[in-house]
Amino acid sequence: MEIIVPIRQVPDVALNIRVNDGVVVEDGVSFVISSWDETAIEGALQMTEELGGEVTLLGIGPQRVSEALRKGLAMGAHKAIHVLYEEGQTDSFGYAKIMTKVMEGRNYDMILTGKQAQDTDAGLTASMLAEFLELPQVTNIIRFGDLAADGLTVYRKGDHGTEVLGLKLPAVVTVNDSLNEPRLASMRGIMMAKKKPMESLTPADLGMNAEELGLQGSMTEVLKFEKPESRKEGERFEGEETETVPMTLQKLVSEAKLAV
Amino acid sequence: MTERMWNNHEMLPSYDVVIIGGGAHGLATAYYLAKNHGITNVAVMEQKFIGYGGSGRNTAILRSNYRTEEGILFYDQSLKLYEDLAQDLDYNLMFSQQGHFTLGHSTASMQALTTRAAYNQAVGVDSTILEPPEIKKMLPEIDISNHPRYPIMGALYHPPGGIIRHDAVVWSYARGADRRGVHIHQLTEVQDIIVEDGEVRGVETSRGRINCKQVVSCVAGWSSEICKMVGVKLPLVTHPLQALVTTDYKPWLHHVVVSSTLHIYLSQSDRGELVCGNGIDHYPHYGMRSTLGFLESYAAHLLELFPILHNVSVQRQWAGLCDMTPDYSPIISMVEEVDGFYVNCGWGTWGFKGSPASGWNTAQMVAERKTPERIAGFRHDRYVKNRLVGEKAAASVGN
Amino acid sequence: MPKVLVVAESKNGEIKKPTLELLSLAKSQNLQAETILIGNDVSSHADLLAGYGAEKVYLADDAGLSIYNTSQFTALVEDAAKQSGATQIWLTSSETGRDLTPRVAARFGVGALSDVTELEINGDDITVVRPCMATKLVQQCRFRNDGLKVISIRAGTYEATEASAGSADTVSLSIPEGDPRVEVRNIQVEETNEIELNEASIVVSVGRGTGGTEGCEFVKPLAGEMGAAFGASRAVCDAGWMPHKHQVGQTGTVVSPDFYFAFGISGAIQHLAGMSGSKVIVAINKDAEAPIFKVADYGIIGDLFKAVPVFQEEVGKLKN
Repeated sequence: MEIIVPIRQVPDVALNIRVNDGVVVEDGVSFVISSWDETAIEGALQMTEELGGEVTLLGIGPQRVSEALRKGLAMGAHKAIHVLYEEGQTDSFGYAKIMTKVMEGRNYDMILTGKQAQDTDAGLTASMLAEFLELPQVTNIIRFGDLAADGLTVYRKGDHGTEVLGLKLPAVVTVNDSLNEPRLASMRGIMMAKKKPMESLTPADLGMNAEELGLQGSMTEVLKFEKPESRKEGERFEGEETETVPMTLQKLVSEAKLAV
Repeated sequence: MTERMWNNHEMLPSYDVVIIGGGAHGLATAYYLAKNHGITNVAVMEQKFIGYGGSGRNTAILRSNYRTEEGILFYDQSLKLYEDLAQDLDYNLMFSQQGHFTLGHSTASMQALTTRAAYNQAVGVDSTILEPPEIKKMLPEIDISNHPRYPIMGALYHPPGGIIRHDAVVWSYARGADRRGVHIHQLTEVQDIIVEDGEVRGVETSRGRINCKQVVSCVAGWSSEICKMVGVKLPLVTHPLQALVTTDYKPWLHHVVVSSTLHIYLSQSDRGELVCGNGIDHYPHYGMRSTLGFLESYAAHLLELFPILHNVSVQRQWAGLCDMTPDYSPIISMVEEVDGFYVNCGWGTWGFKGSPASGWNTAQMVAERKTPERIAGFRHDRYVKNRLVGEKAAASVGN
Repeated sequence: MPKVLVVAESKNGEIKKPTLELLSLAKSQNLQAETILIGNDVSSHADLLAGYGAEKVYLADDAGLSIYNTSQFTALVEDAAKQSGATQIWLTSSETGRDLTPRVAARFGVGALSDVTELEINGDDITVVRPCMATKLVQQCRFRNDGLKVISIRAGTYEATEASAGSADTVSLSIPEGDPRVEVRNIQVEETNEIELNEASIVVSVGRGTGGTEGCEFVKPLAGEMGAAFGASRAVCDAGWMPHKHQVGQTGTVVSPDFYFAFGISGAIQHLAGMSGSKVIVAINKDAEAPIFKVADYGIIGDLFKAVPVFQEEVGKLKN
């Protein structure tokens, strides 16, 4: 089972994210692997541990992305591909095009990744990639079943319930974090990560030219980032519930127009 | 309803003493001002929340096996205060005096450690040199074989050293101070210190002005920012210092282990996690970020000492700031040019273990308006007078 | 001429509210709108959709379409879009919408903007606002191309306005072959009688403070009595106290009701990201320092087990 896991390096959204002049401030920011992609790495590792094969990570971005790839290698992935990319703002369409080029000529059974990236929360790239590669896709899976001759069983969280699907590989699959709890890197893993193969490519190596990269290669554009209007802390009520609850409900009805 | 450990008071328009910095040093100073000297009209101003800085980020190792007479006596006073602190503050600080190893990996290193042992013993601090077989008996998992690069040649063993719960120290000092009438103001940034005719008059904060006669700066990594406000220049450079904890394991490491040559130290907390630290990052910086480089170098060195830990998982990384002095000793001093201003800083990588003695002596200095004998060596002007208290060999890893 | 194709959705024999929100939005913007409805036994909804403003209803009604699959749904939307000459395709932010939006966009070789919470429409010139960084930030975006624009809009962003009676102009789509590489074998459906989380105007939600399944079940009846949907935090679902379908949060359902009642929920980031769009947040928690109080419009510091019976009594009084 050869699995490619595209990962995205994102600012740690658990920490304070600042905006200056419509642009996200990167200075002093801690970068991490997007959480759903960690789930994907774990899913891929579990599968290759059971069925054999290798997990290859793919990261696209500036030099710092290699650190995220090394952390993924420290978790247990076997090799990594870093597309050194500094073309500026690029949307999901643009990234999907680059990934399509990376996949050319490569052998894989599955492209497995998180259902959305924690910085954009867009959830578009993987499906666009599937369309460009003319592969089947299943998104938002919460469980893997068995691999049989007639396909891999996957469980997808859909709108009407959990869908049980049989998927013939190769395919593109995106994961929901209910799938697993990603493992932590061990000391040995951290050390060995330095020795694992990391392929370094540029867009030129992929035969891409300027019109296909950055804003020029994108279909959508971010005009600016802003802090949303923050919710202000409202009123607090402390004391006996027999008093605070009716007081609150009264205010909800009179001030907030609650109707039951 | 549970009782609060410390209270939020209305900020008064004036206090006798304003302490800038709500870490262990600032809170200990406040506590001892109240307890030892009956000075309770005190405010501690903390820009974020207490323990936000180094006090909440260190690896909680306590010891007194320093190199200079000033250093040994100071940290010994501190360690002895720590021994009684839980009773004094009526709070379980989980001080485990489990013994502390400093491993030597070269002849030069062993010479330095032997000298330290001698100096310690001369002033009555318990330190001895152990041979590798004796080390192995106490640390069975350690590798004392003949490594090609850094074999263990011996260790400085210091029985009174150990580990403590750092947050508990901060909180209980805060409670102790609060109970004695000290006001602790969190989320309150000191933005300027008002000096007129060479005397302190008050401070400007993000919540308004406070009049006071004495200001004590206890902000460690941020000291340059505060000292700028009174025009005092100190030879401090701030560097990040990183740390990590692993996932938890059954208790197996019963002593603190430090390797100066390999630049690492570790201990096992009461929760079973290995608490691990390194030397400072090479670049001066105010960022408290974790890096992969630290993780990789730590992993490599840890596995040289304890090969069986190869499967141990890293749970979390973090960093703090260290205000480094040229001689690796602190600066606890009044500043004559600004009457009423006292500076307590230069705690580099050696601050947390010194908190009680730092607070005790700083309080005495503020109360009596003169420098106590114990900290005479730590004046801020020793650098121009060439009276350095050289503790680099003993204060940090990295030699 | 701008023309919107709304990808409609139905569930349990009803058109889902977000679909009506999209049609209402098109109407309020004076945009020509058509809609496509895919499913099994859905043709009867055509008139309703027409009443909400759909000038044409493209129908794909087939037993094989009762459960979503990417391949056929994408092909059908592609067909309808081509037939309709739509310049914009609007989808909802349901799991179907999330799967379909990028695939449809890529099918046409264009980009997409997803999970939009604000739209500024000038004909085909569209600027959107959408949340990002776990809703800590919002970004303002626009399309760079002139061609087809594919957008998914977060449920609850716009109101569904009152409809008139309608008579639909329907077009039957030919059902394409499914992709043999994906076999939909089964669907594990959970109880169907409850109000949908992302359609409810009131949500009553439980967190770790309930202490277990029993605690959650203690609060649940209040939801019914208030006519509210019942939600749960990720901690509660991961611990197995409540089924995942109740999960509110970035990885569960993102909700934006008029009122969100959080019982025993501390307010972890990914939970806040899933409900911060609520108009009014009411938090009930023992811990005065819980992060949720920072975003709650009304915060009750107290024991939820004592509060719930009082809520039930007071709600009962309000209903009478």
